[in-house]
Amino acid sequence: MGILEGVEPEYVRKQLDKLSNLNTTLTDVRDTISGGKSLSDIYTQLDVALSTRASESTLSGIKTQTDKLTFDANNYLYVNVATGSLSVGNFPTWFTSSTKLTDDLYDKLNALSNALGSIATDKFRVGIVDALPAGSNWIGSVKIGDGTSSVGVISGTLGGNSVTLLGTAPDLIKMLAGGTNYEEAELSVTTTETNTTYSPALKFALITNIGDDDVLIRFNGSSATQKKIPAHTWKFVMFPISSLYYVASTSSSTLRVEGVW
Amino acid sequence: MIKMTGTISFIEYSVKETGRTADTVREFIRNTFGIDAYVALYPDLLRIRLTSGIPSKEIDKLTKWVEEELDGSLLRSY
Repeated sequence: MGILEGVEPEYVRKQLDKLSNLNTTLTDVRDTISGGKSLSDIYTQLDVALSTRASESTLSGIKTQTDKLTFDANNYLYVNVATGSLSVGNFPTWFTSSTKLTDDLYDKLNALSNALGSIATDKFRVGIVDALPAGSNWIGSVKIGDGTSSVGVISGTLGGNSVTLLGTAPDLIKMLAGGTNYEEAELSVTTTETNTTYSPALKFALITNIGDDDVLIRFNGSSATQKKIPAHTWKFVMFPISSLYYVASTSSSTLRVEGVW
Repeated sequence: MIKMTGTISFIEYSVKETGRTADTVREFIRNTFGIDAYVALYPDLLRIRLTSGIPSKEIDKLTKWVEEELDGSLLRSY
């Protein structure tokens, strides 16, 4: 038996109407999906194979480590170096030696600090002076004095050794022994007062008027009181004489001065 | 006991009245040569005894100074 089948035309018509509402083109679908990019545009961004990029697990591992970093309020990284070797360039060998520890460096610095702290001014001076080897030690040009005039430096023997002595006065042994530097002079005396000076002062002196005229003398200053040395007499002066002023009473005479330094 | 080991030099100059004193001469010697001296300055004579001997070349410095400052001239030295 033959049977005929068919679709209700009205139903077909309604379905077709639905299709007519689909105004979206394939281009629109593409643009919606790709953001306006063509498949060619998208392809040019894929310059390498995705398989060469870090995998999700790798990225996750990186994040796990970076999450351990901590920062302060200024975004400065906190760093704690764990026990173990720390390799830093341009450090001295000692510093990078595996047998040396930071405690060794601390011990040395601490010892140096203690040593410096124990050195007082006088110890420092003594430490330098006493450490100088015996013999010639050149210090350079040195002046000793009052800031204006330097004192004389004389050589002598002390305790059997030749040493350099400082002295501004005549040598001591001569002074203590009454002096062996003997000074003698005969002075022409006229009616014009004149003077003689001695440096250092004569410790004492014998002044003899060997002439025929009296002589007036002053000691240690042009304003000192005049004293008379009559002709052919002498005076023994027992005090230091740095200057001697003399003038003849009438005409002329001669003074012999014998002094000791 | 202090014993002098240097040789004392003796120098005499004839000088003219200049108003200088023996102290001035002695100070020049101490500042120039670093040694002390016994100085007697008379109206026409300057007599110097150095506490340490100095080379003759060094004495030339003193001689020149005496010529300039005291209008003097060397008489003798030893």
